[in-house]
Amino acid sequence: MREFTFGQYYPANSVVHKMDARAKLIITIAFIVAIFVVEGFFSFIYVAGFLVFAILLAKLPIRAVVKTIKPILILVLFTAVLNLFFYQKGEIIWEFGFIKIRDEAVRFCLYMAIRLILLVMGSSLMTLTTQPVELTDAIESLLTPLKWVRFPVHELALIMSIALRYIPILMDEADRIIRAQKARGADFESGNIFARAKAMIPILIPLLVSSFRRANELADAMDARCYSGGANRTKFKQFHIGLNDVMGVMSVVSLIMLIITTNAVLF
Amino acid sequence: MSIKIENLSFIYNPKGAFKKEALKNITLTINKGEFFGIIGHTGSGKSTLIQHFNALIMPQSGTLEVAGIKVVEGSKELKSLRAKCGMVFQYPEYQLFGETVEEDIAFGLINFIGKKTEKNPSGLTDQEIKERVKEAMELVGLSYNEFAMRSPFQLSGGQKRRVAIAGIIVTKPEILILDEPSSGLDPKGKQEILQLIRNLKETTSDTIIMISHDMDEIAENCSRVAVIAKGEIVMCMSPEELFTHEEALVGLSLDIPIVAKVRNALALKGIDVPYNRDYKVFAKTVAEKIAGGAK
Repeated sequence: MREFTFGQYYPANSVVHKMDARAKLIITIAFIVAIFVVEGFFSFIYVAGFLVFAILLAKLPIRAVVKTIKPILILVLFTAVLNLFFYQKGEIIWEFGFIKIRDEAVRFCLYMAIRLILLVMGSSLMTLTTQPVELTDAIESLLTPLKWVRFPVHELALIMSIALRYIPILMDEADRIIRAQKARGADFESGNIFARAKAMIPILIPLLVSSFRRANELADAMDARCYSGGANRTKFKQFHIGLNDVMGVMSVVSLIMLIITTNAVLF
Repeated sequence: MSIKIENLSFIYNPKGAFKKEALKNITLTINKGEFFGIIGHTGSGKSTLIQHFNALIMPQSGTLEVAGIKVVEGSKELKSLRAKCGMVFQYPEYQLFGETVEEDIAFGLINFIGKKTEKNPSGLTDQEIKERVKEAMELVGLSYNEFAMRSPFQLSGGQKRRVAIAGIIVTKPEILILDEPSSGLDPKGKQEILQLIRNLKETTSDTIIMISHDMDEIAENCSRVAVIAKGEIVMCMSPEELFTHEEALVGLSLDIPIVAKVRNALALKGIDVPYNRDYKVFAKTVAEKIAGGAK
C-alpha cells in the first residue's frame, strides 16, 4: 500500500519547483483548456512538446511522470473501447455481426485517450513539483475575490490541506488495522467479489471510527489555540510573482493561440 | 520449544531509497511455559520481531519455527499458526468493529474454525460460539449478560481493551503475544490488565510474550527478558540478573526499577542481597542482613 505515490511531491531544485504555486495552477488549468481546444492530431504535437519541455525544465525523470498514468490506464482503455463501438458518426469501415466500427469513432477514441493521458500527466506535473501546502495556499489566494460574496475561502483551503495531510496518517492506520484483523484470521484475498467486499467491513469501520476520533482531537487542539479562521492571519511563506512565472503563463497562452491558429488554418 | 528463531534478519525497503535494517541476525529460543519480556527503545525492531511470530511479516533470511510450524512464504499452515499464536497489538481497542461485543469477539473464532455447515462439519454451532464467547468474556472479567449485546463503542477504554483481548483469546492460542498491553491506561487499569494477563497464563495460553517499556512490569511478571537495541538482541536473561547491569541499561536509555537501583547501591557499599520483585521481601532481607551484620 505504501507504493501509492500518485503524483506525490518529488523534491528537486528546478525553476518549475521554485515557481509561484498560483502561476503553476493557472498554467495547469490553461494547459487543460489547450488539450480540449485541439482539433486535428497535428496540434497534439505542440501540446506534447510543451509538456516534455516542462518536464525537462522541472528536472524530473520522465519515468516518474509516465508512472502517474498507470492508475488511469484502465479508465482510458475502457472509455476508448466504449467510444469505438458506440460513436455513431462517420462511415462504417469494419463490420462483424452487430458490431460496427466507423472511421469517426476511431478518430474520436484516439483523441479521447490522448487527451486523458496528457491531462493526467499535466496535472501530475503540478503536484509533483508543488508541495500540497503551497497548492492549497495558491487555491486560497486565487479564490480570494469570492470573499466578496461571503464564500468561506480560507475555511475551504484549510479543509483541503487537512484532508491532504491526513492521507498518509490514515494509510498507516489502515495498514495497522489490516494486520490486526489478519492476526484474527481475516482473509481478504479469497472468495468472490461480495465476500471480499464484506471482508472490508472489519477494516473500514475501525478506520472510520478513528478518523472521527482524530477529527475531534484536531478540532479540540485548534480550539485550545483559539483558532478562529482567516481574519488577520499572516502567512509564513509569501507568494512572489517573478519573471519565470510571467514567462510560464505567457508560454501557455501562446500555446493556446498557436493551437487556435492551426485549427483555423487546417479546418 | 515454543518459538525457535535462527539468524533472522529483516530489512524494510531492501531496494528502495529508504532502506532500513530492522533486525540483524536474531537468534532466540522461547520455551513453552515462559512469560517472556521484550524491552527496547521505540524503533529498536521489537514490533517487527513479534510480527514475525504469527507470520504477519515473513522472514527474509534465517529460519523461524513457531509452535512446531515453520514460517515460510506460501505455507498452508499459516492460518492455523495464527490461531495458535494470538497477537494483541498496541491499542487493540482501535480494531473493534462489531455491532455488538459478542459479534466482535466471535470474529476470530468464525474465521479460524468456521460455522457448522454441510461443507464444514467440524465447525461450531451458534450455541457453541456463544459458549466460547461467554467463556472468553469471563476470562477477561466482563459479564456476558451485561456486555454481550452492547456496542463495543459505548464502553470505557479499559473495557474496550478487554473486549479486544477477549477477541484474541477466544481461539485459545497456545502462545499469546502482547505489544505494550498496558499503554494508555491509568495505574489501576494497568494493574488490572496485568493481573488479567497473569490469569490468562494459568488458563488459556501458557506461553506469554510481552513487549513493554515499563521495567516494573517486566520485573513483576517476566521469567526472562530480551533487550533489543538497533535490531539486535543485546541481552537475554532473567530480570534479576538483568538489573545488575544497570550501566549497560542506562546506556540504552532504559531505566531499572527503584528496588533494583537500591540493591545495586547497597551492593556497592558492601551489602549484597539478592534482588526480589516484591519490595517488602527485599526490605526484610536487607533489614535482616544489616541487623545480622551489627551483631
